[in-house]
Amino acid sequence: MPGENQGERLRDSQFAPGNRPRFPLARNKENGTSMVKPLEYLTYRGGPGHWSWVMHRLSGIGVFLFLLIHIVDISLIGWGPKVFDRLLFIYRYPAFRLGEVVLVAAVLYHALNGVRICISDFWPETMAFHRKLTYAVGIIFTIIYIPTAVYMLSFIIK
Amino acid sequence: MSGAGNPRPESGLELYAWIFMRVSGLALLFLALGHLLIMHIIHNVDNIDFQFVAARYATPFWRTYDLLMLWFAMIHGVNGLRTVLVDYISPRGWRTASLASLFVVGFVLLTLGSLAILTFQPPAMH
Repeated sequence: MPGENQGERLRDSQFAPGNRPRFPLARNKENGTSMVKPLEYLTYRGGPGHWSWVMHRLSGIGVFLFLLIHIVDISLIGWGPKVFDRLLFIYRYPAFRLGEVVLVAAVLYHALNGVRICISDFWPETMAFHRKLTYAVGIIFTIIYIPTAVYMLSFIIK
Repeated sequence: MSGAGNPRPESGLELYAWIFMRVSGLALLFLALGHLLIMHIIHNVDNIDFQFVAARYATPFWRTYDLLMLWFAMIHGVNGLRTVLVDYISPRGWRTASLASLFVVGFVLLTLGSLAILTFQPPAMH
């Protein structure tokens, strides 16, 4: 049966790194020529899992780049109070404070989603409800982050 | 395996890297979030200056905290970015060059950060 073969092939390719189907959402269509709608790109590889993967990468890269800058700025402590204070006070400008609020979002999301990854890795049976775990990350993030962000933004305004 | 990422490595250095990412990640969950809470929310950039850091580094506790966090974060970050670079850069030369740059930058900044934490002399002690 060609249908079965195709199903098996796609199932294999889905789990083979570097061998992912380019248009996985068209895989259930019999002729495979159907157009992928713009909205379908947003759910590439299956919805929330894909988006948490993307955000984990982006937040990780963002936090890492800030870490590099942060090491340089704190190292200025060795040059004494004049140099240190003069450069560190750059962080008091509103644009940098806004960046700080974004940084907290990135670290918090990366941390919470990292916990979810550890749970899935060490207790594979939780994969049965992995979507719920992904949504839980979003809910816990929102509960912690909204008040934190409001509190941090209140420093800028006053 | 977990979701859309690469499968768990079977053995060797890749397995140790895999384990390290989880162990350091859980350590950073407390170290980095604690750091953000103390230095960006309870205190914030309006009241952090040389004097603040000098007082903080007068005791070995915060130096140890920061040093642990620095090492975990840097190695975690370098290994994470290594995964990203290997995923997206396939030409051999570019891959080698980008990985080499990553390791050099990581090593230099880890050294710089460690020196800053370990060699700082609070002026009050003179």
